[in-house]
Amino acid sequence: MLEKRYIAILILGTLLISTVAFSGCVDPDDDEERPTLLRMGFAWPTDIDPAIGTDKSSAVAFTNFYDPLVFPTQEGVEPWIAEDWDVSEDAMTWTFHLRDDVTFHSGNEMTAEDVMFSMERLVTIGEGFAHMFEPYIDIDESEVVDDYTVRFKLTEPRGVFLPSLVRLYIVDKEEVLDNAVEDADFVYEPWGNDLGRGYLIENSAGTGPYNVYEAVIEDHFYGERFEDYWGPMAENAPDEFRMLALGEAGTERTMFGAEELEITSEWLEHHTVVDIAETFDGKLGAYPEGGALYGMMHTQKEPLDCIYVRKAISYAFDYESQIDDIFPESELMEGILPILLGGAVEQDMPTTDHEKAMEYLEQSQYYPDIVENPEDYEIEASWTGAVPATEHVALMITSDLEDIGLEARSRRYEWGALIDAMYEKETSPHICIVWVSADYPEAGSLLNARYHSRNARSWQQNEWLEDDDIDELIDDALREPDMDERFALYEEVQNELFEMYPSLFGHDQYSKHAYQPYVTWPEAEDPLEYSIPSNGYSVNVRNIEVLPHGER
Amino acid sequence: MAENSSQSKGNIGKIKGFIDEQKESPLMDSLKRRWYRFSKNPLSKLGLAIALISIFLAIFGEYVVPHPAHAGAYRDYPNRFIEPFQSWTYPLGTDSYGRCVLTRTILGFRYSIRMAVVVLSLVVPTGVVVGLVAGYHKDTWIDTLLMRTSDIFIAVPPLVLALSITAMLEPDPMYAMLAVSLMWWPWFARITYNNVSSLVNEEFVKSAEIMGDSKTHIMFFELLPNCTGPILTKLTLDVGWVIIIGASLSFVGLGAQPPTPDLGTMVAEGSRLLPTWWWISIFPAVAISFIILGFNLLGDGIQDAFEEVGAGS
Repeated sequence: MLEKRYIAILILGTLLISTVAFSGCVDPDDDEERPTLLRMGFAWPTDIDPAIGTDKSSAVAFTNFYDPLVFPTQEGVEPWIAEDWDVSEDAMTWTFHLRDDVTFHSGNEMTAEDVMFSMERLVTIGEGFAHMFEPYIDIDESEVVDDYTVRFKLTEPRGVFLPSLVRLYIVDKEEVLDNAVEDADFVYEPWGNDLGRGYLIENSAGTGPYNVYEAVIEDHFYGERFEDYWGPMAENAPDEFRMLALGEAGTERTMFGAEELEITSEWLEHHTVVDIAETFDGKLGAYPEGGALYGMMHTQKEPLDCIYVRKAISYAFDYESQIDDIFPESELMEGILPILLGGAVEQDMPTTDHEKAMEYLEQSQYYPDIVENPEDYEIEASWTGAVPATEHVALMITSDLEDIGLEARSRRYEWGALIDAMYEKETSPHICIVWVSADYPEAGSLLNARYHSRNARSWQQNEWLEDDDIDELIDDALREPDMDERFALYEEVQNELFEMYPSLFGHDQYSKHAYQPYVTWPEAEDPLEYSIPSNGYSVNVRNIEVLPHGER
Repeated sequence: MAENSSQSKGNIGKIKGFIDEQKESPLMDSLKRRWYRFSKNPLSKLGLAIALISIFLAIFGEYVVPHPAHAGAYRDYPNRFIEPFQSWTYPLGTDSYGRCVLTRTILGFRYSIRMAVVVLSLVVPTGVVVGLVAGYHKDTWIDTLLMRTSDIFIAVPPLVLALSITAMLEPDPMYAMLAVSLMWWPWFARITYNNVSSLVNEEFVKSAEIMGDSKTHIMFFELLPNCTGPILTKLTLDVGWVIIIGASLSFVGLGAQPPTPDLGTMVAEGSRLLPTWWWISIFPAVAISFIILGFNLLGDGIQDAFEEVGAGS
């Protein structure tokens, strides 16, 4: 009995000594072996299925888990999966010649069949970026010419078809169909299955530089570097890219301090990001993405249905303070669209002038009742709880309107609730404060998303313009194959829209982040040189370098 | 002898006068004795003082704060993030808008106290009436119906119920108050029921019934006065709890909306800025603790007062 006790004490003692002795010992060589990670915070939801997602975090996922047919640049697009292309004179037939050295994460070779399937899948599902192709792509007449040539036929001329292809991400047809489910909530004909919709919620089936190996919805996606990636990669590109669902300042600060987060999320307030960077000797970076902050004014809701009230609000808003005090990383808008977009023009934008605002107010059909009984015309400035900086803008609008005798209140929405409210004209708030980024680097992208009636029921619009003339002008511009002609038409639309004062034009958005000193991020460090004015493409992990552990 | 006789008559007169006096003001006597028991504990007096200060600030806050304009959509970005105890202009510093934290904290008392007042004035009468009726009709279908209904409400976690209701409606302090009220009345029903059901077979109730007094009279004039102590104690203690629930709703954005100075909202806003700008959340949090502590101490004192008097009588 006594012996057993001694043996037990001996074993326990040995275990204790071993634990203490080896816990602090780290083989210096292990540092070399430890994978380099790039962990970045994002606001959920993130849809990694390229036929579903559209928002920032989804776009970042597509950029890194998939490859598009063409890649956006500051000037337009450059060859990517498509090495070259031909277009017919009527701009209705586009033939793309594909690279022959591209493989999917599954090991399958990428061919023209996959490109055709990707387009077909996107328009069949009809969500995500499908709206950029579905109205005019003629799938029946489009064809696979050979293994490395695909031809798309359009039902009408479409000048922006080529830049739109930055949102056609190539999926692995074989892998997707192998994992498609026939008995699912969504079944698409003529395929008779879900086109891999369920599978691609948690898996990537692309050719991109990172391959998803672990996914926990509403928490994280982990991607490992794809060793057979065909394209350019920075020498010290991280071994893993991890997208984490974050956004709470305290959590990010703690994780950043413990080196458990390389890049903070986008929606932290400026002073918080600066504080994190300064406290932990991190770097600060900001880059434009072809997006802007809009105070979207409901043009069919009293009293904003009167252009003079909208003009008064436009001249009451404190533009300078918005930049100086809330978004110092961003820049005042020079026109109604971010100036980096192709075809965006400079315009004579309103500046803060309360006298002028009062003059416009006096011309309003609601004057003088609107200032004598302002409570009858209360204007609601809505903001998103997940983005605290928008609360500052909402309160700024509120106090600016009070200065000219109007009554306003700020209202917080959760993002989902705001999207629901904006879906119906009756429930849309008076003013919505939202950033909208271009899906492709041309003015047409935002003009279509922001002001065309077909997109009125989306979070990208709260104006409810529903103006046939504007719709026609936008459509004419998007159809125009010649770029110069197209840009001239864009200018015409922008001038027409400017005269309608449909929105408060806040600022050209610069996404800002704190990131670790051992990370090199060209787009954030030299945005003028490297940033890409297209949502999600500036978080291009191919270009980001993370120093190996031993070299930090 | 005659002197002695007149002296004794005088003493008897004094005693009679004293007894008459006692008979004339039993309420005063009762209050005096309760105050004596209450004031024996200095913590109770501290609680009363804190409660009175809180109520005073809730009513007259705008007249005592240094910067009344900071209650609204005021902004002064050049003066934001001023640290506390650095200047007399902003003794407790400024927030991310440049607003005075002291001003907004004091004005935050109003929403918290108003929340407690509105909620308790809705739930106490409701709960007490339900408890009285159910307790008086103990073991009848009325008892079963009323008390099982209240059990259903008690079974749902209070904060979850309040969150669900306010999330379904738009974020608004009034909805928050209604939501909290909806979940709070059963507790008063329960405490009243327990007291009434233990008294319902007492002789004074039976006597009243024999005398032909109406049920309403018996419930409200015979039974209710005997439940005052526990109800008052719970009411005072619940002030703190209601304020906590209200602050929790505001913390998650379902209570008072910015720029209304509300302690829960201020803690939520400040929590984003911890630890660097700690004062923006810490002072409102301290204020919440201050109010709750005060009303809890006051509640304890009231409990002491009523328990002692109850035992004596």
